[in-house]
Parts: sequence; structure tokens; C-alpha cells
Amino acid sequence: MTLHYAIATMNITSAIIAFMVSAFAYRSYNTVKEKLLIYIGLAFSLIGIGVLMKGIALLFLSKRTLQIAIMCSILDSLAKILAYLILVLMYTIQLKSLLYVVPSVLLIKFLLINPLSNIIAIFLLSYIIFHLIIALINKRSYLTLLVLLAFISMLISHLILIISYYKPSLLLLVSSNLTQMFGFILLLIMLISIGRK
Amino acid sequence: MKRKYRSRIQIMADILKVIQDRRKARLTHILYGANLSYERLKKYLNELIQKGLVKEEKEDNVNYYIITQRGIEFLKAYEKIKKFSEAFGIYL
Repeated sequence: MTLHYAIATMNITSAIIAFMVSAFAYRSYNTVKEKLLIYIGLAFSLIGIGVLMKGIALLFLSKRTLQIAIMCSILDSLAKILAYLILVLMYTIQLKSLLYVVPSVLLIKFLLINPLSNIIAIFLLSYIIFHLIIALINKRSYLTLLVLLAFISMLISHLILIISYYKPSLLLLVSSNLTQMFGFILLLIMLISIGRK
Repeated sequence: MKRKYRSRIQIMADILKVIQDRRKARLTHILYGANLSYERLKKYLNELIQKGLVKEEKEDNVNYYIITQRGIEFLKAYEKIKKFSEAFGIYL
């Protein structure tokens, strides 16, 4: 099995889990009409579409499809940033205290300064993780811990990608994709745990 | 980040839980169990009956409320959704 097939498989697996999370969020919205659930559904749909596109492009990677693969990879990055922005928006809508608004203002300032997609993703993910840590402190839930660890894995995956830009290595590339998939597996465990209880 | 007031859906779930726990609940039981005023409870109960989640039965001139199969399924789904939302730090 060549490397790009392995990465494609990891991406497609991650996409399937992302679609499962988004389907659960949409179904939940239909039952309880809580608008914030739509944000989760939309964010994971975008992540799923991006990762799936990248996975399929890698699966059929050849000299002729190289441009399409690069395009899909860029679209995947854009979809992820948009998805994280949606989640940031969701947590910002939830804000009640001014204390929490301060990091979001700093974040927007940073977004305007730094154009690098991975750095933007890291900062957006940091914001999401910050809210999940607060949620975990408020309610020590195993499920929140799983979601928190999933987003931490996604953040680590972006960190590894940044390192790999400066120090290109196959190991780092694989590690980044593996870490991302690990995050999605944690989300899958969360969904299964909910289903069992 | 916890909400001070219960959402509409949370109140409905609380009413359903009280009825399910008692199997057959009188208005006063639900009133105390769900911590609602009489007017608000009547409004919510009418909505639950309309949606087929609760049914009303009369026995010895006393009205009893019983959870339907649809109500039980709704409550199960609600518990899952609540856990899913809380996992993301959202409180319904």
C-alpha cells in the first residue's frame, strides 16, 4: 500500500465520522429546535466534505490528477477554516460574560494580521478548546472530555503540518493525518457512548 | 455558562420525566415535580397532549396524565441530544 493510499484511507475514514457527527446534530436539531446544533451540523459537514474531497483526490492521484489533488487540498483547508469559524461563532453566540469576549476580539485582530491557514486554524481551535475546557470544568463529563481531546488532536494535527512546512518529512505528514483521524475516532467513541447510554 | 432559566424543551422533558416516573401522574404531582405554575403547566400539558407525547385519562373524577410510547421515545432521544450538546459545551 503506497503512502497516498494510506493517507486517502485515513481521510475518507475521518470524513465518514465527521458526516456521522453532523447527521446526529441535524437530527437533534429536528427534535429539539436548538439552533446551536445546526452550527455543529454545518461545521462537521464542511469538515467532512473537505476531508472527503482530499481523500478521494489522493485515492486517484496520478500525474494527470495532480492539479485536482492540490485544488482539493486547498479546498479542504478552506472548508476546515470555515468550519472552525462556524464553531467559534457558535461559542461566541453562547457568550454571556465580557471576560469571554476579550479572547474573541484578540482572535479577530490576529486573523487580520496572519494569513497562514494553519495558524488561523490553530487559533480558531484554541478558542474552541478554551470553551470546551470551561464546559469540562463546569460539568465534568466524559463525553465533553472526548470532544475536547478530539479538538486537541485536530490542533496538534495542524501544528504538525506547520512543522512539516519548514521541515518536510513523510513521517510528519503521516503523523498529522493520523492525529486528525484519531480526533475523529474520539468523536465516533462519543457518538457510540451516547447511543449506548 | 449554565443557563439560569430552563428552555422550553427542558421544561417539556422535565414534565415527561415526572409523568414517566409515576407512570400515572396527577396535576399536582407534575406541578411540584416540574416546578411550574398552574397556568404554565396547563399550557405545556396541552401542547404535549396535542403532540401525542402524553394522554389524559379520567378515573374516579380525577384527571391522570400518562406518557405515551411516543413520549417515551422522545424522552430517550432528548437524553441523547442533551448528552451530545453538553459534550460540545452547549446547554439546552
